[in-house]
Formats: sequence, structure tokens, C-alpha cells
Amino acid sequence: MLHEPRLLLLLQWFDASFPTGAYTQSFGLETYIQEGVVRDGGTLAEFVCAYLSGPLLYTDAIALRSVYEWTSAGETEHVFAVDNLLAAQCLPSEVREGARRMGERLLRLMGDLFPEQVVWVEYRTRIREHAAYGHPAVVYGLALAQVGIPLRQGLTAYLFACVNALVQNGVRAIPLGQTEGQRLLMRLHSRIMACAERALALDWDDFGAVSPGMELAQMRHERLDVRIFMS
Amino acid sequence: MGETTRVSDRAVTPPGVWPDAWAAAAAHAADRSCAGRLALTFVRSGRRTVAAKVYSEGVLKASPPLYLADDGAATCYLIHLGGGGVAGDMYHTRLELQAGARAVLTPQSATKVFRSQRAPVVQTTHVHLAAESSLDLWAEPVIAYEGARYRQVTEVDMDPRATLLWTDIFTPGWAPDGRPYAYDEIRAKLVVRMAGELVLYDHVRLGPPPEPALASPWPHGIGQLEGYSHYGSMLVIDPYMDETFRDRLWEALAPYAAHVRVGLAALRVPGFALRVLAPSTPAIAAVFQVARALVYEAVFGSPPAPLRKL
Repeated sequence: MLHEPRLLLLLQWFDASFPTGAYTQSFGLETYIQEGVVRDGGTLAEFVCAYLSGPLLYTDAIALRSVYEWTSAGETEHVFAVDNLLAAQCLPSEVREGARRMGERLLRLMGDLFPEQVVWVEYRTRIREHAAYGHPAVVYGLALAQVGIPLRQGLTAYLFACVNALVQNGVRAIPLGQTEGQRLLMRLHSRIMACAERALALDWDDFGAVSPGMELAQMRHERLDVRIFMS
Repeated sequence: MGETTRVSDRAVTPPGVWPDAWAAAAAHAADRSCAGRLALTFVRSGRRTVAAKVYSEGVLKASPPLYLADDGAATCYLIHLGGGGVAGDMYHTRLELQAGARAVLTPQSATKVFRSQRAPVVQTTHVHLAAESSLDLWAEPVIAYEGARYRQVTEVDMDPRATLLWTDIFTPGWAPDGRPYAYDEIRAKLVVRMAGELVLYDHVRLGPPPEPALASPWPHGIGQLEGYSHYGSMLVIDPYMDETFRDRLWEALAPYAAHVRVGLAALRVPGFALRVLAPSTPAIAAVFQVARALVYEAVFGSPPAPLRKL
């Protein structure tokens, strides 16, 4: 069990109001909504499941876990190699840019909240010098390791926050009722836990495996005529 | 606009991250026995590109260079003498283009991958492109039959002034009654370094989800092949591939929208990735041909020579 101070940190960092900018990113969902593929609770669930067992598992979760493990082992250089790999792995430019914006925003915030932790300054300096790119999974992996929140709990909370943001964006854009959104989120609990568990067993070999349809929808987003999301 | 290439001497290689396990395993196998091995070095000699070194072993061979247009580019057909890959087969190809060399490489026919549950069929390719060189790899499909597992790792090390045009097509084999065979897994990694800096790490995975607990209740739905059977990817890196070019390409591809699903993305360096989901190989090839012709016009100022195949 988490002691209260850490539990509260976890609740704060992964709360929907923590200003990461996630509400501006649909990660391809908007393409599916405009094409009429995602149009109700059932089809939104289908998208979110595909996103969870695709990009979130193979990219974000593996990256966060590695950053956490290398931070704990004091291997900061490796952390920045993960940041570099994340930017090289993401082909859809809006998603890459979206992750960079979210990463930078979080980085500034963490630097303000934890001024005694030097890594935030170093990360930002590297971004400024084009030696790093910025990604929320890297920032959260660093943050979780530095305050000693256990990896499984931190990873589960991260995945939950990502799924929650997507569900809320779907609720606004489709649109759906708030209750339906919450019901959908609850149905996804077991899947989120299974995904976190799986991420702890995967290896670098699996990193970045792309689901082709998902990636294509993300690429097509930048060519949509009217967009309310940035990706 | 393409983002600026990042120049850094700080990049390090975490153990276990890089080089990754497949590449390491394949390199290890390459030191020992290999079902096929091919190494080609192209150099510029006057106006022409010639194959200065050709090494082949096992079932992989290359035709002597042909000159299909008067642009000096060497065209070689890549030949697989066996009927196809079976469990545990390793193939290794090394391509080196020295300064100013231009080569067009294309397999003579599709690559077949048969049942390989014991160990995947692995194809590794290392490409080195020097300044002002250009490599155009025009794919034939990799056809994965029932129970097939196929892994492909392509590593490209290129000068920022080189041109790379790389294509891949992955398709299911078909049963005699016309149903598509279910392959187990196709995985392809394409890693590009420019002046030593990692600029692209493209990893695509096709096939049913490996973990039942995470399998979507909608296996043919959102995110995977979305009702299509064939997957194509074209990657082009060249200083001329800017936003204006990509807009022109996107317009040129509009007529194909009814038959295939296309995605186009800018890379972190000047270039683009073009993905195609389609019902057939010719449908993918048609899209790639349009893109290839536009790339040739922009980069070389002349159209590609038609590739003759048996």
C-alpha cells in the first residue's frame, strides 16, 4: 500500500486538472469521429482499447518503465536515450509534436514543484540545445522514481490518466453523457491493470511496435478540414 | 516544414536498448551459418555507377547491374534461389553506396515465408549511404503463409546529402479456396541514423495480438488492418522532400482514396513516410508508383525507368 503522502502525489499528478494539455490531444480519435467510425460509447470503447493495447502499451508504458528503472539505477544518460528513441519512433508529426508540448509543459511544472531536483533543469537545457525532445512518459518516469512511488502503481496511474483523458475527449467530441463516460472508464479498469502488468514483462525488442490502422488515423488527422484537437 | 536535425554528441547507447536483441541475434548468426548472405558495394565511375564488390552466399544472389535509362544508375535484381523462408532461416544483406553512386535494387519476385513457429524467419539489412549517393529499393511483397513468423531489421546509416527511397509490402498468403491464411506475426524495424544521430525508429507489427488478456473484443476493428489485408510502407529521405512536396504528393494520391487507405507524415529530417492499407499488392504498387515518380521528378529531374520483371 502507498503511504498517504505518496498516494496524494499520485492523485495530484494524474488528476485530469493537472495541466498537461492532454485535453487538446485526441491521438487519432478525431479522425475516427469525423469518419463516423467512432460515434457512440461502444465504438469509443473500441478505440480506447486499441489505443491502450497499442501505443500506450508498446510505446509509453515500456518507455516509462525504462526511465523509472534507469533513474533508480542512477543512469541518467540512458533516460535521455529513451527520450530520443521516443521522438524517432513517432512518425505522425502531430502526435510527436503533441507529446513534445505535453512533455515540456510537465517539465516546467515539475521544475516549479520540485526545485530541489536538478534533473528538471538538465532535461530542459537539453531540449533547448536540441539534444532532447520531451515526452510525458519520460517526465513521469523520472518523477515517480525520484519520489519513490512503486513502478506498478505509478505505471497504472499513468495509463489510467491517459485513458481518462481520451474518454473525456470522446465524451466532449462525440458527444456522450458524463455517466456513460464514467461507466466506460470503469469497464476499462481490468484492462488498464492487465496492460500495466504486461508492460512489466515486455522487453526493448517490443518497444514502439505500431498498430498500422491507429498510426494511419493519426497521420490523416493533419489533413482533416476542421479540427478541434491538435492531434 | 521538416524539423531541424538534432546534432548532439551526447547520445548514448543504453545496454539492452541498443543495439536491440534481434539485430544482435542476427549479427551473431551472420557470423556463423546463414541461409543467404549478400553484400554489394556500388561506386561512381564517371557518369555510371558500377558494382565494385559483389559477395553472395547461400540462396541470395544479385544480377549484374543493368542500365535501364541513361542516368547512369545501376539496377540490380535481387534473387532468392530457394522457394521461400522456413523456420529459423536467417538472411543478411549489406549494401554500401559510395559517394555519388546511384542504385536501384528490387527483388525479382515476392519473398515467401512459410510456417515458422519454432523460430522466425529473419531478414537483416545494413545500408550505408555516402554523400550524394541514392538508393531506391523497390519492394516485392513479403507473403506470409499460415503459421508464418517473419522479422525484418533494416539499419540505414546515411549522409545528410544522400537520398533514400525504401519500400516494404507485407501480405497474407492465400489458401486454395481464396481465404487469406492467418500468419502469426510480421515485425519490421527500420532504423535510420544520419551522421550518427538516430532520426527514425520505425517498428511495425502485424498479426493477432500476442497477449489474450489485451486482445481487443474487436480483432478486425479499429487500429489494426481495419478490414484491409495488405500493408505497404514507403520511406523517403532527401533534402528536397519539404512540406510543399508532401502537399503535392497528397493531392496526387487523392484519386486512390476509394480503394486504399493512405497516411502521409513528415519525418524529423526532410522526408516523408507513406503508409498504405489496401486489398491487394497492385493497389499498393499503384500508390507507390505515383509517389516514386514525383520523388524522381523532384530529386533527379527525370522519371524512373520501368523495372522489367519475369
